[in-house]
Amino acid sequence: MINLVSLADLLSLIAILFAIGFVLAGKRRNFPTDAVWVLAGLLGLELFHFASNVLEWSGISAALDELEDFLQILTPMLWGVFFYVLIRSQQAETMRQSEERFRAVFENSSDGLLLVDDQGIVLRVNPAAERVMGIPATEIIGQKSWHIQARLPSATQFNESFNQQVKQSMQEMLSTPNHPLFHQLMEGDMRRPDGSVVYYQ
Amino acid sequence: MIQDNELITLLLAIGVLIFVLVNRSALNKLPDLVLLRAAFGVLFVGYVLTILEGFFWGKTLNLLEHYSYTVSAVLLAAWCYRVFIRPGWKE
Repeated sequence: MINLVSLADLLSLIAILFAIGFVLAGKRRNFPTDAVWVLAGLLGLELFHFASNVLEWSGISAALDELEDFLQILTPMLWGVFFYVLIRSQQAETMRQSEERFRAVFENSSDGLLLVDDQGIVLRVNPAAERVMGIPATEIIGQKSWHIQARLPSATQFNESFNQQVKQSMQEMLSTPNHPLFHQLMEGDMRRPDGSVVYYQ
Repeated sequence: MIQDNELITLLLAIGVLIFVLVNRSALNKLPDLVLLRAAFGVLFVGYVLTILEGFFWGKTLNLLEHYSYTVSAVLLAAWCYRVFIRPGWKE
C-alpha cells in the first residue's frame, strides 16, 4: 500500500537510480577513479536503503530492515570518505598544475637555472644553463653544485683557494635561510669545458 | 524510542559535518559543490529528525525524515548530472 512515507522512499529510489545512470553514462569523463568507486559504493548503499524502505513502508516486506539498519551506519562514513577523496584529488590536481607551470617557466627561461637540494645536489637544470655552462644536463644532474662550479674555473681569478671559497659560500647559503648572498648580485667569468670564456651575472 | 544504529549514524554524520566545515576552503574548489554539500546537509537533517521522532511528533517527524532523504537523493542525482553528464567540466 502506498502511503506518504513509502512515496518519499520511492521517489528517493528513483532519484538514486537516475544518479547511478548519470555516473554510468558519464563514466569516461575525466573524474578521479577512486572518487567514482566511493561514489558507486555510496549510491549502492543508498539504493539498498531506499529499496528496503519502500518494501517496509508499503507493507510488502520488512525482511531487509535489520540489514538496512546496520548498513545505514556506513552511509555517513562513505560520505566522509567521498569528501576526503574529492579533496585529495583536488589537491593532487592543483599540485600537478603548479608543477606544470613551474616546469614551463623553468624550461623556457632564458636565464640559466639550476635546482639544488639542501645538500647542494643538482636536481634539475634548464636548457639555458646547459648552453651557458657548455655541459650537458646528464653530467650536471646528481652532482654537487660546487663540483660543477669547479669544472667552470674563472678565467681571471681561478686558483684552489677561490674554488674552496666558492664551495664554502654555497654550503653556507644552503644551510642559512635568507643568506645575504641570495640578495647579492654576483658577476664573474668562467671557462667552459671547450675552453671558451663566458661572463655571467 | 531511539535506536542504537540511528544514534551511531548521527554521531558519524556529525564527524563528517565537522570534517566538511574544517576543509571548506579546499572543498570550495570542487565543481558544483553547493549541490553536494546541500545533499549531505539535508541528509544530516534527516538523521537529526530520526532521533527527534523518538521524543515527540513521531509521525510528522518520521515523514519529514523520509522527505529529507528524498531531497538529499534528488540533490545527489542533480550533482551527478552536473558532473558526469553536463558538458564542460574538465573537458
